[in-house]
This record gives sequence, C-alpha cells and structure tokens, in this order.
Amino acid sequence: MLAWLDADRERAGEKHELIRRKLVRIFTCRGCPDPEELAAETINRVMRKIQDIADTYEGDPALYFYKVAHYVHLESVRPKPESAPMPPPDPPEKVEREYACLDHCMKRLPAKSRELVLQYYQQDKRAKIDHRKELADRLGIALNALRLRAHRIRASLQQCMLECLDERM
Amino acid sequence: MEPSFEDDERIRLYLLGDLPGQEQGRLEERLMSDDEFFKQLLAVEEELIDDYVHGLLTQSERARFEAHFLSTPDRQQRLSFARALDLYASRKTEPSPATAPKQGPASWWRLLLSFFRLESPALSLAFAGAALLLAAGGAYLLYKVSQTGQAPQQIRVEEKGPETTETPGSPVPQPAPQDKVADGHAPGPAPHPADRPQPTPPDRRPDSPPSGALRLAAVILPGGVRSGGQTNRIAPVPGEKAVRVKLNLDEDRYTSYRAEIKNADRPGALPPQDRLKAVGAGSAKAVFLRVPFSLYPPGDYEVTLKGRTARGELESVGKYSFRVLPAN
Repeated sequence: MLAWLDADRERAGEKHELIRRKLVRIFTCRGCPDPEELAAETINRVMRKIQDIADTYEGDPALYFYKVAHYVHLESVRPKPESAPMPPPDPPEKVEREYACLDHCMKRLPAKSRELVLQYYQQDKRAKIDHRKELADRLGIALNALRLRAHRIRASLQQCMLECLDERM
Repeated sequence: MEPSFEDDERIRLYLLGDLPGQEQGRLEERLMSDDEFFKQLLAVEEELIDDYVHGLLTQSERARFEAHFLSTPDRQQRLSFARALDLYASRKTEPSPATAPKQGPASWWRLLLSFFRLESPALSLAFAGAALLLAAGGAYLLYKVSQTGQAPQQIRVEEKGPETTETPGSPVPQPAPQDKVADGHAPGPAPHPADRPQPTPPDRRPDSPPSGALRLAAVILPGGVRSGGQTNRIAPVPGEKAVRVKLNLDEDRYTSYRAEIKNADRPGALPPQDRLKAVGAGSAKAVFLRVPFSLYPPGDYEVTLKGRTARGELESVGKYSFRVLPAN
C-alpha cells in the first residue's frame, strides 16, 4: 500500500499517517464513538483491495480511502445512545498540577515560541483578532501562517503537558 | 485553493454537526485531498474550543458543542488543555506593546522605570547595576568638565601628547544627544522601538476607539435608521477588506456588549462579536463593529445587540440593520 501512496517510502509513510489522522477527524466529526477503530477498519479494507485497484485506480488515493470510510461509517451507525453527561469541572488540585506542568513545558520552549504563544492567546475575542493581525505583521508573516504556527506549538505543549501529568500521577 | 474565512465558517458548522449533508460530503472530500485545508480545520477546532472556554458561543452553539463536539475523550482532553492554557496565559501575559494603553510623552525617568519592569529579579538587578555605573560615569564626566572647563575630547587630545598623529578634522567622538546626562539620571539603553511612547494621534483620545486602518463606514441608530431616514448602506471601496460600523447607544448600562449578526439572505448566524466596550462620552456612547467583506458579502444584515451585566447575564439592548452594497 505504501508504494501505491508514494514511490518514496518515507513520504508514503507520512501520507499514510496523514490519511489516518484525517479519517479519525472525519469519524469524530460524524459523531462516531470510536473513530480510531473505524479509521483502522477503513485502512484495513483498503489494504485488502490494493492489489485489485492499484494498477487501474486514477486520482488521489486519499479519496478512495474516503469512499471506503463512508461505507464503514454507514455500517457502524447504530441508534444513538443518550449523550454522555458533560464531564465535571476539574478539581482545583488537578488544575494546579496542569498549571505547574504547563509552566514546566513553557520553559522548555524556545523563547520566541513561548513569546508567540503567550501573545497569541492573550486578549478576549474582540481585541484578539486585531491583536493577532498586529502580531503577524510584526513577525512578517501572513495571519494564516501565524495561526498554523501557534497551532503547532500548542500541539507540542499539550503533548508535553500530558506526559508531565502522567509522570506526576 | 487558499483557505479563507468563509471556509472557517463552514468548518465551524461541520464541527458542530450543523452542515447539511451534501456540503458535509464536499467538505470531507476536500479534507482528504487538501492538506492545507486539513490544517485549517485543526486550527478552527482549537478556536472553537477556546470560544467555548471564554463563553463566546451562542446558546445553541454551546448545546451542540456539549452534545456533539465533546463526544470523544480526545476532545475532552483538549478542552481541559485549553482551560489550562487560558489560565496560564491570563496569569503570565503582560499587555503587549500593540495593545498596551498608549501613553503621552514620557520623561526619561518614566522610560527608565518602565525598562526595569522585568519579570526576573536577577535581570532587573543587573540592569539597575548597569544604570548605576552609567550614572556614576556621567557624574564623573560632569565633574571633570566642571573642574577643567574643557570638553572631554580636548582632554583626550592633550593626554596623547606630542606623539599624537591625529590628522586635522579626524572625527572626535561626540556624545550622542541621548547620552547627554540630564537631571542627574543615566540615560540607560535605548528603548525598544515598540516600547517608545507613541505620540497620541488626534483621534486616539482615551474615549475614542482604536481607529487602526479601518474606515468608519456607517453610524447606525437603534432600529436601523440613519438620522437622515435612509437605510444604512456600506459601499466598499475597491481594495478595501474591512470597515467599521458604529452602533449608537441610547445609554450605557453594561460592562460589555455582544453583537449577534445575521445575513437576511442566508441561513445561520455569523460569528458574534463579543466583549465590545462602549466608547464615547456622556450620552454619545457607541460600540464599534468590524465588518470584513470576506465574511459580509453584499446583502442585508441584522444586528441584535445585547449587554452583559455585572453578573454575566445578557440582556437585549436593541436591533440595528445595515446593507453591504456590491463593490464598485
């Protein structure tokens, strides 16, 4: 299957992972309770069909995954259970542990990334839009590029915080 | 295709489970084949979570968010992280130079003090020490000048003696104007350009809104009628991306305001503009809306303005309307 995605094995692996993440997102957005499992099932089905379609299929392979995912979703739809209750707010001890871990993770960031993230997430909404535009101008990048940069830093912060919380449990 | 703000709106509806079936299919296909669009979805997801944390979702959005969006442990975990990040950012951040209240011309002393307002005590001490040394150096120079009655550069020339081979007219270091000691205080390092006090522009008085580069396109009274009795029309100028619209208030009784905007020709609400502050003096109070044309194509718009009480409850203030005309 990797060869079908890309001649270069490493790029093929990256594409495979990206397709998997996209499928998980789509299943999540469709309200599926176990999106990871459905994404894995989709990929398994495509793998089983690869030999039949690889030579004749034309177009973006990602769209073939999507078509299979659609059928996997239809098969998985069951009568909707009652919505799970909202999780209660975190207890104060957990909030403080999270804060301590986040502080630790922030200090591990390069100074520029830390500054960017703090500047990006300050302000409430009305001022935030203008403020982010000014931040982007100051950095000399487009607003969307700033947004994506902040998103990448945030993702790494979240991962770091979760690992830190696991260590402190 | 470049991501756009209209995409943001569709992604938001998709994430809340509110996108009609066919549109959903088209969006998902684009997600699969367009990596940049996928990244945009991830960013919009985060912004949606942040809006929930800040209480910026409408009632129906909040209900959809809690019932549909938070359906997986992964998203609940991301909500928890968003809360932690919000708490961290609110505790840690200083006002940025771009949004800090603009000050009038500051004395050297005030500039020096602001430069020492650093988070790290060690850094503050180091700068304080450097400033003291500079002050001492400046005082010594003054003393020397007062003793000899000569400028410092002349003293240097004399010290070099007969061996001096300075050519006439060679540049002699002159103290830069900002290094001149005044009031007995050391000048200190030059302030960062972003920290220099900006002269207050004529329209940037404390009670007037930040003008930035946006044109004020309309002034609207409650009920939607301009004082001249005409419908409020906004005519975009070619190349213009956004304008401001001023909503006049009969009175200002609230801590902040929220504007919920609908396009009369399209279903679904536009993103609300929240935490708006009233500006102006006396009975001439108003709130300002930002109208980017990418989100507000030509058409009729209705604004429901609500005021937020001290307890955080929203109360209806009035309705306004305006029309965006096609660009010339």
